[in-house]
Amino acid sequence: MTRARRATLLSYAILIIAGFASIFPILWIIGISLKTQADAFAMPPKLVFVPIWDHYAKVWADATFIKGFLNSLFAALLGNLMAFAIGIPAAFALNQKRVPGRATILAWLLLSYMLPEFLFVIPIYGLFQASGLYDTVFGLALVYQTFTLPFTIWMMRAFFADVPFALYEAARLEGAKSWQILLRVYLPMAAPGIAATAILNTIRIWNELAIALGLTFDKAQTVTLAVAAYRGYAAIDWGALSAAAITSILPMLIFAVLAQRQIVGGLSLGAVK
Amino acid sequence: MAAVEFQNVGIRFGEVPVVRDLSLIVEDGEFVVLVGPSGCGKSTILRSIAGLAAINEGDMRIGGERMNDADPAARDIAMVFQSYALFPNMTVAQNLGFGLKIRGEARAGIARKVAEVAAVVGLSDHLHKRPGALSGGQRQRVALARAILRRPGVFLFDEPLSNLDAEFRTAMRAEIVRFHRNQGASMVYVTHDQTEAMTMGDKIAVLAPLAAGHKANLMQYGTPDEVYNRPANLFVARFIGTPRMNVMTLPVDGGTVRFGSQTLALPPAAAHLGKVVLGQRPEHLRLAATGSESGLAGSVEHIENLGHEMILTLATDLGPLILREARSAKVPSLGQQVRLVLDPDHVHLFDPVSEQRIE
Ligand SMILES: Nc1ncnc2c1ncn2[C@@H]1O[C@H](COP(=O)(O)OP(=O)(O)OP(=O)(O)O)[C@@H](O)[C@H]1O
Ligand SMILES: [Mg+2]
Repeated sequence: MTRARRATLLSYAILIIAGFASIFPILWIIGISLKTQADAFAMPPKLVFVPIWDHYAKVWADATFIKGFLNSLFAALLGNLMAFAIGIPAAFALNQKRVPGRATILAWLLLSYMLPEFLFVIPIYGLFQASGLYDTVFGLALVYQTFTLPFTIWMMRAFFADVPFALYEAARLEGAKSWQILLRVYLPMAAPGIAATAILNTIRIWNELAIALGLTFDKAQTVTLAVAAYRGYAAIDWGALSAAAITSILPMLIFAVLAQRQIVGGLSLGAVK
Repeated sequence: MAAVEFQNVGIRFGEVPVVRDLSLIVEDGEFVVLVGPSGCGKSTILRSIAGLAAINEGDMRIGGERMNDADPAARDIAMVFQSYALFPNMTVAQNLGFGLKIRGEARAGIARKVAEVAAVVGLSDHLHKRPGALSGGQRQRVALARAILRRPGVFLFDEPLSNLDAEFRTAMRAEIVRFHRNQGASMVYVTHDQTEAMTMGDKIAVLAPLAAGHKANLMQYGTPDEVYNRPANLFVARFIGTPRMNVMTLPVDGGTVRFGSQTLALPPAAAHLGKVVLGQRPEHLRLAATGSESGLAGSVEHIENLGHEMILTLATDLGPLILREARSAKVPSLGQQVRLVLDPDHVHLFDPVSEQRIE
């Protein structure tokens, strides 16, 4: 066996192990979600069993869970809309050569993206209580901007930086105003980047727990909270918890499969290359 | 009326001066080539005409009107970029119609004008394609067509041929010159290729970088013949012409200089100097007849045989000299001892301190 072949085999072995390690917990939870309580905790674990759909039926009929699911959907939609509405013009402006302190601004954006979410919950709690934004999806989407907006600006700036500046100049010579150049040249060229950024934003919002826990109570509870709710005071409904968890990752999964090409294409386009 | 006029123009990037004291007039309908080594400010000067580089001092006029601070779109110019700067997300037709659309022309009018100009440059069959699906030469034509559509008074070109291969470059060179003749518009053309400059321009502006210690960028402004036959200074003498002009510093003795056994009388302006820089182009340097003792001794170090002519590099006491001769003569062999003779009618003299031409 040649050296190159051995190296290939080794890298495949590592990939298979890594793939299995990351998919195993999901398979396990799928297993629990399809088993009776007795089967789920049988020792040794039962690999062959008769699947039951009771847990899914229960979760999908649960008004609290459905509400959480829809709230997360709206929060993701609203969060992305806000982020792009502000982030795109901001990134476009930051991409211009004559912005004083551009490097500092970009560094701050990245830093604020990395701050732990919970940092914002306590000061904003009082503010939201007073302003009526507490326990609203709009309020949530607003707070999500603390990480969504800097990330969006950072990503879009990187994608815009990949557009040759000569195109900007050529459009200027043709009489286009800045906003026309943004709309007709930069946005179409950065479209895969927008898609990739939106997907990453959505994943982050969808999985967010800390802020939702602190700033919602009932009306605006998100899907992560709805999943956690199956962990009752006295007992944990493992079957329903697992079925809810699996249901909550479904949209992201379907989305990821459908948009796989855009994600990879967008990511390898510039920003995170 | 002059198409473009620079009057004592200075351009700085931050604190760094890139263009200083530039005065130059492009007459109406003239084809002017800006040529010089990398970093001499050619692109910056061109971009200042377009409004893409800010002018810090002096005046720049287009069609007699001061345009230092005018909006780029209002300058009666069109520019062809080195990278062509075509919009990759648009078809050729959309690229061509972009400016018209921005200016709010009706759709039917845009389509008609685009079709017209596409026919002129031979792109009619490619209107629906994106730039990515075109060859380099076709992209170049799209860029040209976009410029033509604007019907500008002045066309600006920034090294438009540098992305093409050598063979195609020659063809496009002829095409642009023909295009200039047909259009009758003024053109300012940037290149660092002095062959391009010599063959295309009505006039050539030879520029030098300020970073190399020059007081101003413009070294000489004249027709190709003037620049080639009467270089105003050592910089131009060395820059224009391939192979380069032979240049040697010789001591002046009693109003004459010696080139081996050959004696040359200097004009009065040079006779009083201690030393003088003498230049002669390779095609004017000759090999003396075999057995002759005239001129300077040298040995053949390198031969470039181009078929119709040969280019010899000769090692001499005055340093390596280049000689160019038609192939009708006998080709000397490597290492052979020869004697070189200057053609006194084609000697260029320069002041060794100021580096300016002496007549
Ligand atoms: N935007 C800018 N900011 C700072 N310096 C610049 C800028 N543009 C050009 N320069 C500097 O100005 C000088 C002249 O640049 P310019 O592009 O005009 O040269 P050029 O003659 O076109 O050279 P080349 O043949 O390499 O294109 C260079 O030293 C360059 O580094
Ligand atoms: Mg240049």
